[in-house]
Amino acid sequence: MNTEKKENPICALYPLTKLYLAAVLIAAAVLFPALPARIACFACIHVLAWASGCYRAVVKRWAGTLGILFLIILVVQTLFYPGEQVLFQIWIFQAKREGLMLALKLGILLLDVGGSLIWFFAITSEKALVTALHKAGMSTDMTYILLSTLQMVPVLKQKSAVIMNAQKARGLETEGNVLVRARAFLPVLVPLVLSSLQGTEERALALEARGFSVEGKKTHLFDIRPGKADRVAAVLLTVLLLCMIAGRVELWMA
Amino acid sequence: MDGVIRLENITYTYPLASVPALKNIDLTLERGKFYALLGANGSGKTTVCNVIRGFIPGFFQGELQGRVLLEGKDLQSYSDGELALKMGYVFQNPFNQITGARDTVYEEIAFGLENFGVDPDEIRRRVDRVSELTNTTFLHAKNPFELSGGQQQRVALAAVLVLEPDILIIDEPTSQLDPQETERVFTIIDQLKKMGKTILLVEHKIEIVAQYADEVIVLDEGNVVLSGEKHAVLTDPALIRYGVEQPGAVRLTARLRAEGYPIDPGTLTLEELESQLNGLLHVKEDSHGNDPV
Amino acid sequence: MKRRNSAGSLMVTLLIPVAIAINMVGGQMTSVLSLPIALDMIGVLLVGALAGTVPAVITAVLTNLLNGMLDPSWIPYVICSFFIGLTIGLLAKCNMMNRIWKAAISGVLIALVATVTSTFVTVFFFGGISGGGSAMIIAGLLATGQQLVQSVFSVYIVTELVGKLISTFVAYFIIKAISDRTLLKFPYGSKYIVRKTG
Repeated sequence: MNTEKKENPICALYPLTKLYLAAVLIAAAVLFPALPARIACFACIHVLAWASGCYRAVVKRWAGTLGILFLIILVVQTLFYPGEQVLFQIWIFQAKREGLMLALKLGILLLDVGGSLIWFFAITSEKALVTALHKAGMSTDMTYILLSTLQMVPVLKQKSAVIMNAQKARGLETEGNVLVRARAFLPVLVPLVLSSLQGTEERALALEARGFSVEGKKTHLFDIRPGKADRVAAVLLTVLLLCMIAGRVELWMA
Repeated sequence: MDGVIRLENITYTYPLASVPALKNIDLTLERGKFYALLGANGSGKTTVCNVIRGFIPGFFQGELQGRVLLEGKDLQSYSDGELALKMGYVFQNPFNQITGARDTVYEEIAFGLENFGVDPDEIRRRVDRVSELTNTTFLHAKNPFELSGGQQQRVALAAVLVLEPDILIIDEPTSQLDPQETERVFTIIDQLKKMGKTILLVEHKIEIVAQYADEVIVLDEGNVVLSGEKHAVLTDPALIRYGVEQPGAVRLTARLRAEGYPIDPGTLTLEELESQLNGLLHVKEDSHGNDPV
Repeated sequence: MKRRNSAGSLMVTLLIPVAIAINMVGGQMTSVLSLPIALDMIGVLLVGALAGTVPAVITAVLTNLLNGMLDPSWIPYVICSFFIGLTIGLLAKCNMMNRIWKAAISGVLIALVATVTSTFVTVFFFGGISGGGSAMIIAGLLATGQQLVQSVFSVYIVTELVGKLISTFVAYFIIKAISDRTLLKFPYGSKYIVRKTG
């Protein structure tokens, strides 16, 4: 899922520091809506991804999701947004300048915001993030929910594949017209849900038997702590953020 | 002796049920002894375990009458944490006991200690110790979901033992395991008994009860119908009336004694029977030739 | 009594990850079976019906964020998830999930909430065009001279009505199939236990 490399100084930062960095990038993209500013922000994310040693992974994920969305927005808005200045014409469709500008502004904002998040998740392990959030004061129940979800999703996906194959062997149709395919949904999902719920009761007691609800301080065997680099980064990022806000206010005043 | 656990006149009815699951139960468990709880399905075995652990009435709701005393104090006066440290509970289904929130066996075993805020160095010491006892050290790096049922059950046992409880409630730990895995689990339980733990085991496999338990309690429709030292209970012909079969060795002994063979009436396991029969054969061989019969 | 019924509240904590996984499996299955509607909220409806608004909102929002980790264009729709979770929780509180006809009404109401919120998100965050097959239909409607908001709304109302009605029925039947004993462990469980007369 992530390509976190411990030896890379950016990857080695504390998860919340990396999250702060992503948030500052997003703030930059939102605060300065001019097209050049947004493109500059996009360039920053590329540099950051490259410096974190995960350029390939980030670009690949980015292209498969936001890249496609960007193209769709670009085409549809350029052709269908109401406007006066026609750039060129293909068959009955007129490409308009207003639509193109809107699509670029909006599309690149999406690339900035989404790109920061993709970068963040590419270099942060979920486990480290959840542990950091727990240490920052997130409740034990919420921590459990997050960690358990990360484990549960692959387990249930695998189980659903097993059930689907078993039902297919019993003659369940999974191909054909929409109604036939839709009917395949229930015989797979219902047993999956019921078998998962059945275990819940015993798991609740098993957790209880191991002191899950005990109040008081918990320890972390898998422990992470912010280091010196994190404190420096936090100060720099805060200064940067304040400068950006000041710049924004100044632009408004002008 | 007062006993480490006392049930006084316990009657319990599950919510929505019209008949009580337990009726006027009085029971004393003494420290350091290994108790086996027998009875047909629905006779109330698991319910007794849940009453002792305090999951009834809390989690299961319903109506509980009578008192449970743990070390002479009312169970209600203990906190969640105190109970978890005093009593370990191992359940039937290995898969359901996985926390689902830890991705290695090592952390899975450590989970309970993290909840109690134990220092990480101490956690590592204890996890290593308990892993050796349960033979789970070689599994440490694996994901708990990827283990076999038997391995999961040993991890579940380790995860409970790491809290070092004096009392262990073990509810049909091997009902979903093959004979080899069953053997492994009971070798561990036997060691726990030698360590002086008080053990309450629910088990259908009567041969295992005959081999390992000290005392046997038999339930029938929510009543304690037989209880006492295992030789007395397991050789009681009334056992079958409560849906519990006698151990094979006991039935064989009865047949052999009826035929006039001098077998000890307290024989419970096939091993004991085998050695006695071997003894008899040797006596015969030694006296061969002079025997007038 | 010093002890709270912590294992009981734990049941809800344990239900949420299962429900999120069910949402994901539902989403995956609609794409495997190439169904034209989204059935990725069944877990949320289940949690809302059994445990109320807060757990339902948590389930819905987390499902969305988890999808957003892989594809950030999901993230603005967290607003829809929030309101869907809220709606099902409130409906369940008002006993609107314990009869089939009530579940049908609930399904329609949830579909309306989903349509309004996702139209808002699509127009506000994406200028009316977000990924998927609906983008092409919306583009088609725009080409015929329809207003943007109307186009987006009219596409979503159809897909949401079908999708949410089916999802609500699936959740309803799943609850019917859960044993009374398990239902009792959830805050709203007793709403779904049919008392035998006499």
